[in-house]
Amino acid sequence: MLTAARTGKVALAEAAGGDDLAFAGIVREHQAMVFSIAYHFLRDRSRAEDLAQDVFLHLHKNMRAIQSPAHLLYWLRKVTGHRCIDEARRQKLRPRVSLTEYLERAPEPSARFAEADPLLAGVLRRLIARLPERSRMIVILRFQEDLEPAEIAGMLDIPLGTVKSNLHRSLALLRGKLERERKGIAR
Amino acid sequence: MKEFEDELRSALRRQEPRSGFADRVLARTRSNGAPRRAGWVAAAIAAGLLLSMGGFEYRQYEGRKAKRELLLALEIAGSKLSIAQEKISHLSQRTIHE
Repeated sequence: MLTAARTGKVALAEAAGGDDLAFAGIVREHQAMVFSIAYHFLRDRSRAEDLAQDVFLHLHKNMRAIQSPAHLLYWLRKVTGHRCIDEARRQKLRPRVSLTEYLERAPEPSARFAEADPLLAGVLRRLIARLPERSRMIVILRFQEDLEPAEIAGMLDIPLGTVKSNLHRSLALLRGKLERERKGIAR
Repeated sequence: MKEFEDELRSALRRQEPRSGFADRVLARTRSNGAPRRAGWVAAAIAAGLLLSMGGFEYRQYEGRKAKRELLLALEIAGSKLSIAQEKISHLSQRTIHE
């Protein structure tokens, strides 16, 4: 563990000094996290990849500001979260349905982990995608990244009470909608 | 509640982007870096031009200053010369009268 932390610090220092290999290693280590936050939020693989690339490009320009591996994680989640919300708000002004988005509704053969119930997971992801931007990001950071409400509040620059009430309302909403979907399927 | 939260965690599992993602990011950092390097070169050229223009201006200023000083010196010398000339002519007139 100590060695891993030391290696992380060494890689950060090397990347900050302009070592491309070290930077590529950092990208590989965190690409699934950044891409998945964007993908679960936007539900479009190509837009999620573009956004994730932009986040790492921004990181490349700000490597010297990163103080530790923990700070890197915090920075990546924060920047990704804010960029997703901004992108969704911009998207509202120019709505479109891409082919990628359409195809996403089908089961995902490339998913890395086998899910217990792919249909249920798909329904849940679709329901999450319909939540308002901020609530959606709170749910993703809570259940994809397993972050505590206080950490989410710090990351999204909102009060802890807002995160807790938002999470509570979103879960109730999702459960209610899921129940209705299940009943609809059972009929 | 716990079961529902586990379902959410399962639905929101991390996924990998398309293979070669890190290479694509690196390629973009390099292409974005190029204009930055070009910018530095342009800035260095501009600074060099400014310096040489400044040097040229300074040399011109020095020339103009030297010319002004020479003219002033000539003017002073001229006025002193005319005073001396006046005195000489005054003295020569006195000598003629005596």
